Parts: sequence; structure tokens; C-alpha cells
Amino acid sequence: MAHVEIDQAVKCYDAFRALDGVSLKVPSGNFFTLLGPSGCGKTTLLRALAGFHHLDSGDLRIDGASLIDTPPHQRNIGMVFQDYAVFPHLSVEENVAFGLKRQRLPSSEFKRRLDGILGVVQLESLRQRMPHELSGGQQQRVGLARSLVMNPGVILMDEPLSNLDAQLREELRTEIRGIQQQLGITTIYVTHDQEEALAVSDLICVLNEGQVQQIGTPLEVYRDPANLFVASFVGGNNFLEPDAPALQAARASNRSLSPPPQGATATIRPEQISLAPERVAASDLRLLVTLEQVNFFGREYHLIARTADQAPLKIILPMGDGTTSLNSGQQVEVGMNERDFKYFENSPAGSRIRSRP
Amino acid sequence: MKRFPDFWTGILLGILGVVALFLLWPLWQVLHVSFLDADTGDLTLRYYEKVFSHRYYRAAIINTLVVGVLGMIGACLLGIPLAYFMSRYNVRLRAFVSTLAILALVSPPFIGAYAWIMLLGANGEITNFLRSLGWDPPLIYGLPGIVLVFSFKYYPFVYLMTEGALSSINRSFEEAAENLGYRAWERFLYITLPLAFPAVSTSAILCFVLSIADFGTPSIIGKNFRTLSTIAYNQYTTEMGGTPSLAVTISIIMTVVSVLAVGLQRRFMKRRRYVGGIARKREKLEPQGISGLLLQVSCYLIVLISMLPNLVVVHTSFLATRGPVFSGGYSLESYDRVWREITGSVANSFMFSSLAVVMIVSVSGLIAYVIVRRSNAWSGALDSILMVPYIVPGVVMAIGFVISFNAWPLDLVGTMSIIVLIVFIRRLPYGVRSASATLRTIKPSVEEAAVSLGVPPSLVFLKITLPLLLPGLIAGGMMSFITAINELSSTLILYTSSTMTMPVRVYLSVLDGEFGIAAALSTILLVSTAACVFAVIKITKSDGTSFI
Repeated sequence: MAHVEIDQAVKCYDAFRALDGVSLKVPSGNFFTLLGPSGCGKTTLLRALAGFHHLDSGDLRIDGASLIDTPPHQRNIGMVFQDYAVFPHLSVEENVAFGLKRQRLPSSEFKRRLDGILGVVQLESLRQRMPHELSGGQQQRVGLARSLVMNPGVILMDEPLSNLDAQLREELRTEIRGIQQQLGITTIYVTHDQEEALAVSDLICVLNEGQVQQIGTPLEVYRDPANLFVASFVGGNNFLEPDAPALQAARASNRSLSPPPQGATATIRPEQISLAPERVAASDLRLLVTLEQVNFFGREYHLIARTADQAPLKIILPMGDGTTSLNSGQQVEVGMNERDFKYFENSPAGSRIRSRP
Repeated sequence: MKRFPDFWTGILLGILGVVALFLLWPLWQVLHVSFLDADTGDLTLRYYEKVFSHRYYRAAIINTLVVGVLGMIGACLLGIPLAYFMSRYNVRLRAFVSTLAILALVSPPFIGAYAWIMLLGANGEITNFLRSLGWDPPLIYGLPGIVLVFSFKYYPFVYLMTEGALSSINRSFEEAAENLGYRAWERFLYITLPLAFPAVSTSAILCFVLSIADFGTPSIIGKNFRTLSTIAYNQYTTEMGGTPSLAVTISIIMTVVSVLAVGLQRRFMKRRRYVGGIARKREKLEPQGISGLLLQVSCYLIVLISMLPNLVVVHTSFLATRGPVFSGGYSLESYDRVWREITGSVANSFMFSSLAVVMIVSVSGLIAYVIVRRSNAWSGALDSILMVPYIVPGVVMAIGFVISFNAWPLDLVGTMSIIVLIVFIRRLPYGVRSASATLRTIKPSVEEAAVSLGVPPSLVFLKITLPLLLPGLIAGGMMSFITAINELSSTLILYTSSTMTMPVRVYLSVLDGEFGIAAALSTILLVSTAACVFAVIKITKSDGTSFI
């Protein structure tokens, strides 16, 4: 177990700034996720920690000791690869023992650790198999076991589930989280899948264009996005112009509302918009919209509607809320509450406007 | 839809028939004759007993194995480091290095032998130069010469295949090993080398098979060092007229050695099937400092030395001669003599090779289609049978042709057809391989789309598949042409005065000491070959992997 600090990390590829002064702290034993779209710098940062990239400037520290001059093979940081990187000429057991063999452990200790980790990732019955006889999920378990068996201070995971199909991905991510909690190992996890990040992390760091956008718990990042990028990247969201006529009219009809900040963009989550008549009646704002699509997802309905201002509106309704009678083309009244709106500056940075007049 | 499978079944049967007649039947004949007493017609092991008990033959068997193993080791010692440097470092003049390696690979096989004699032989340039310095260097004849020629002739196979394998190894494997605490040389030893091993061993075995099958080199440079291919040829010429029982028996032994070598390698490799997947290629390192310089210089040295024989030959072809004697100065006399005396063999070479290539191109598209798209037990068998010409030495094939096609209804001995046919069957795999490699890159969905748009299936092949396949067919044809026009070991047994080809003429000229003519003819061969090489590179836009 170890804590990690990244201090003003900069990495450029010619004119492109892959990391543009990234600083963050990962507490010991934390499951820390780097989340962002492709090209945001998350993989570059991870590979810099592993030692496969050199930073142009900045510092990386584990338990306060700088890593910059330590070669990759001496860092004692585990790494799990997106493409598994399971050695194709070695069996499951040989793969997992590959790093352990160099430590010249007494054979009883060697066997204990090998058996132990194979048990943790549930590969005991497959230990003699060759990689080409394994499914993708099993291969990634080998990759996981291979780095865990070294007892690294920190383990890095580079989109470990992105090559697996949806169901397996969910299964394995629960398992990875379980193993991480069981061993209490500091984990830095890279993904572009916001749902995955929300599901497994202790802390999420949202990155974009080489810069940290926000660091927080999944709940903070979702409920309290720091800027427009985070609001749009994490979870579904609606973006509305409060000055648009229909919205303005809806506001005007409720005297108790204070005016919105000037020239701001307002956001509201799809699940915060209501359609059931009694809830609409109790809402701060009521708006007439036209339904364009009604999509059934099993436990909920996803609606796509359009306001009189021609702004698209995503709505998520649980089953039952009078949803079965909905049809596309229908006009319905929806309700929204002022406390659910977040306001952001209408600028490239899109910073959050917190102080309300 | 119903007639379509029948059409392809017909094609498959036809091709199997041709292959059976011109490939399997002659080989069966060779095998059969070796067990048949020439005088009584009974089954016998007499010839095998003789070959295995006689010192002359036993020495040749051992010599052949020694030549094969040493040639293979030599080729690996040159090819593997070159492949490693080229795949890991940004070597300057990269295109130059790989082009020279390919040229060395496709240059006429026996040029090397006699060019090296001209440099390091009893009266060689380098020998004379060293003597003038007061040192009498060891001469090149015998085993050292053969191994030298084979190493510099066959290393490009090792280089091209190993480089391909090294470059395609997923970068994550080495990163994972590094992450687990392994140092650079340990990563090479435990990860990189084992992963490249299938390619290394395949190319090494290829060098072994080619080394033991080669006829021109040991016969020109070997002096009293005899290998199975040279004694098979000698035996055949002394048995001429009678049943070539001993020549055939030696042929069988050669073939068995090749088959065993390839079989062992395949068996060993079977347990090592490595899953591919998404390959993350590694970035090449910049060569730095003294070691970087040495590394690049060694790359250049390897390819330049392997090109040396070709340069010597071209140079020699422009030397002034009086008869077989070089008279000093330069002239076009040798070309003039080729033009006046032996236009026949030049014309023959081009005609035979072109005819064979036309046949190869016209069937290899069909064969490739049957193997790739209609895969079943029969097409699988066809695919394996087409490996046979790679393994069976030319001398053996030729002897098989002579004893199979010397009577009605197929009395072909001494005709042009027999040479065209043997070149066709021996080079067919090149065409098929190139065509099926291309076909595998064409998605079947393209053909299915055409069918779904209402195009009758027979037209789909013509209108969709064939045009897409064309680059592969042309490249395969060029490859076949290169090897066809340089063919010596089989044509030497089958030629007559009216069907003599350039390589045969070169070989005879070298034996007669007519180096001027040999050089001029070799230069013509070299230039035609090089032209084809550049055409293939242009057509396939490849780095040379299509040459193996």
C-alpha cells in the first residue's frame, strides 16, 4: 500500500500537449479512476507512472519518493494492459510466476503466493492452459494475477475491460473492485467509460485536453460537476438556454423564482424531469414539449422531446409513471425544479456559476 | 445457385488431376524405381544397400547434412542480427539495405559460386592481392566456399521472415516483462526470442532445404567435396540410357532428408500457436554513438558482401576477352558473342519462363479460390500437396519427369514441353501462395454483396474477385518468373541442344572456363530479375515479405 502524488506533470508530442500540468494525489488504498475521452492524456499519465514515457517536466512520487530516475523494471508498480499482454508462449501458471521467479523466494513461499493469487482470480483449474485456450476475460484475469502476485505498492490498469463484451465487462469490473477492496491495494484505473468509473471508483479524476477538470467521489462528480465538460461527459445531461422564449415564459409564470445568471447555460439531468401530472403540478417550472422518440429500456423509459424553442430534451422515467400511454408525436407537459438546475459560464472553460444573485 | 458448387468441384478435380499427373506421379515413379531391380524387375533393397554401404555415397550423405546445417547456421548468423537491428533501430538507408537483401536473394543461384572463385579462388582478385602482400590465403574451394556462398545467398530468407516477426510482436509483451522487473537482455531472451522463434525456425529450415538441394554451387566450387545433388546428377549422366536406379535412390534419400527436416520443424511448432490480436507496434530507436554507428555499418557490410558476387559478374561481363582469356581493358565483346553465338538459349529462357508463368497465373487464381473460399478435405489436401515442390529438390523432380514421360502417351523427353511443365509445377506454389494471400484479404462479404445485388455467382468471380485478386496474381507471376528464369537443377537434366536455357549455358560456360560469356549471360539474367523485383515491389507496395 502506498500513496501516489503527481506534481505538475507535462508531456508534449511536438505541438500537442498530452499532459498540461497535471497535479493530483491518490490516497493509500484508494481506487482512483482517470476518466476522459480518447486523447485526454489519461493513458499517457498512466504510462509515465509505469515508466514507459518520460515526462517533459514535473514529478511523480510514491510514498514521497520520486520515481523520475527509477527505470521501469525497478518501480514495483503493477500494470494491467488493455490488450492483456499475456505471454502467448507461456502457460497460465508460467505467466503468473514470470515476475515472481526473479525474486528467488524459498519454494514454499513461492508456491504459497502463486497458489494464493490463482485462487483470488479463480484460475486454479486453468493453470496448465495456454493463452490461446483462454477467453478474453480469462486472459485478463491472468494479466491481473501476474501483476498482483508481485505485491506492488500501486497497480495501474489501462482500460483493462475495453476489449470485453458488455456483460463480461460488468462482471469482471465488480470482481476487480472486490479484489481491490480485499487486498486494499492502491489502484489507478484508466477508462473512457463514465458508467464504469462511477461504479467502481473511490475517487474519479476527470481529464480533458491534458488538464484535470475535477477530482471527487463519484457522487460529487455526478451531482456537482465543476464545469460544462464534466457535466456533459459524466452521465446524461440536458443543456438549455434560460433566455430562450419558451423557458423564459415558463419562468415568468412563477413569481417566486429569481432570474437566472446572465448569459449562462443551464443543465438538468434527464431523470430530474418529471411527467406524472401530480409531480408536474408541484414543479417550479412547467413546459410543453413534443415527444419525438419513446424508447423502452426495460426498467425505464428514455424519451427524446423537443421544446417550443426547438431545444432537444432527454427525459428518463421509471416504469409506471403513466409511461405506457406515451407515443411519439404527442404533446406533454413536463415539470422541472429550480434546485436541479446547474448554471455554467457560456465560455470554452464553461466554469460553474455557484453564487446565485 | 445449384450449378455453382459443381463448377468449383470440377475445377478442383481438374487441378487435382494435373497435380497428380505432373507432381505425384513422377515422385511415385522415382520411389518405385528405387525399389525395383533394373535387371530382373523384382522388388529389391539392393540400391539402398549399395548407397548406405559404399564410402563414396556415405560421405556424400554426411557432406550434404554438413552443408545443410552449416549453410543454415551461416544464414542465421547473418540474418538474425540484421533483422534485429532493422526492426528495432532507425537504420539509415533502410530501403537500400532491404533492396540489396532482396536482390541477393533472387540473383541467379550459381553466380555466387563462381564470382567468389573469381575473388577468392586460386587466381582470384583478392587472393592475388593478398599474395602480393606476401600472404598465401587459404583457398575457397570445398566446404568453406560452399558454406560461404550459401550463408550469403540464403540469409535474406532469415532476415525477411525474422524481421517481419520481430516487428509484429506486440509491444505490450515486452512492456509487461519490463513492468515485472526484467532487464533488456532478459526480455530479449525470455520474451522476444521465443515469440520470434516460429519465424526464425521456419526460415532456418528453408535455408537447410535449399542448401541441400542446391546443385550449381557445390558442383562449381566444391571440387572434390561431393553432395547428394552433385552425385545424383553425375550418377544420372553415367546411367544415361539405362534405368537410373542409383540416381533415383540418391534422390529419394535427399527428399527424405528434406521432408524430415520440414516435418520435424512443423511438429515442433505445432505446440506453439500464438494468438494474434491487436498489435501495438513499437517505435524504432535512434542508433546512437559508436555502437549505433557499428550497428549500421554491420548492416551495410552484410548486404554489400552479399551483393559482391553480382557486382563481380557485371564487371566481368564488360571485360575484353580473347576467347576464354581476359585480355585487359573493357569491351562489349562478351555480349557480342552472346548475340552471335547463343541467342537461342536467351530466347529459350524467356519463352519457357513466360509460357510457364502464363500457365501459373491462369490457374493460381482458381486454385487460390478453391483453397481459400471452398475449403474442404480435398482443397485442404491440395493445399498440402502444393508444399511438395518447395521440398523436393529440382534434380529429383527432373529425374522423375524423365522416367515418367518417356513413352506413349506422354513422350516428352527432349521436348520444350517437358521443361515448361517442370518449371510450371515447381513454381506453381509461388503463384498460388501470392494469390491466396491476396484473396484472404478480400472479405467474402464483398462477393456476397454482389450476389445479393443479383449478379450470378459465376460472374461474381470474373467481375468482383478477379479484379481484386489481380495485383496478387501479377506479383505471384513475377515471383514465379524470377525463379523460373533462374532454374538450373532440373533443366540441366532435361535440356537438349535445342532447348538449352541461359542458366544451363552459364553453367556449361563456367565449366569450360568461358567466364566472359557466363558473366554476360548472368548479367542479362540479373537485369531481368531485378526488373521483376522492382515490379513486384511497386505492385505489392511491400518491403520484401512477398519474396518469401
